[in-house]
Amino acid sequence: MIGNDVIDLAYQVKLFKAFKSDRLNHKIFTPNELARLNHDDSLSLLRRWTMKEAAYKAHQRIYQLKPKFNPFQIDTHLIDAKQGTAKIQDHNFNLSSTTSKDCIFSSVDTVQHQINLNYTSDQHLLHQLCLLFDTKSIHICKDELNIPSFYLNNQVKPISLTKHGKFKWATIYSPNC
Amino acid sequence: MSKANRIDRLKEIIKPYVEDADKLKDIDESTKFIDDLAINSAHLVDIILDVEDAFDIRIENDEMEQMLDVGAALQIIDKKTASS
Repeated sequence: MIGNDVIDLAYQVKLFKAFKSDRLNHKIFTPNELARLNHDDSLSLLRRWTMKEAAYKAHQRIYQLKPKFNPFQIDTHLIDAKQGTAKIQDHNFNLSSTTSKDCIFSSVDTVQHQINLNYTSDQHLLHQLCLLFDTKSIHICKDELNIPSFYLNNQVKPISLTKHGKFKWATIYSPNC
Repeated sequence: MSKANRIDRLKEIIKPYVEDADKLKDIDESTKFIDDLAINSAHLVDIILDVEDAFDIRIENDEMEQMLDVGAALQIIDKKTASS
């Protein structure tokens, strides 16, 4: 199931408090992650955050859960510079991350091919979706759990949305899936 | 401190994390931080730490889980300040 998250590093530097206080760390990280904190640089810690959020979105959609804020219950593992895993209860997610000088983006890997769309406005996203699916009308709605989907003809398709600072990304399954 | 005053104080705390200031105008107990104010989840941790400092309380992780809207935040603040 899809799930994504982006962090704008410029915006983050300004607003996100440094990962230096125990008080903060214990609200975000699992005991396993806390044991590794001294081995992680700041970008790795921020990457773990995006992985937690991306996995949370996929997990919430699979089990149709009420929204909650529980990063300390999502255990991440960094395999290399791009690949990692996140465990929520008994569910393991594989994730891919991209780190640039401006942002970190993570998404849950799925068997089905997915497309990540970088967009500037809701209108821009709808335009891209219409082109991809060769249609003139698509609309995006969130359900009562605040999980977004897009509506194409009579079909409901999953979409994961993430915005931070100047970055906006959507993840969908490829039209061929 | 009245409920209106506590909401105003909370509003001051969350203001730096809201990109569209207009969204803060009609804030009430039902206002959701992520859905209604478009606050990035990364900044929820900042808000929780700022609330702890402003009200001189400590919010436990199981309480933090539910702190997704103004009403839940006020309930936690009330409970914690009453017991301190």
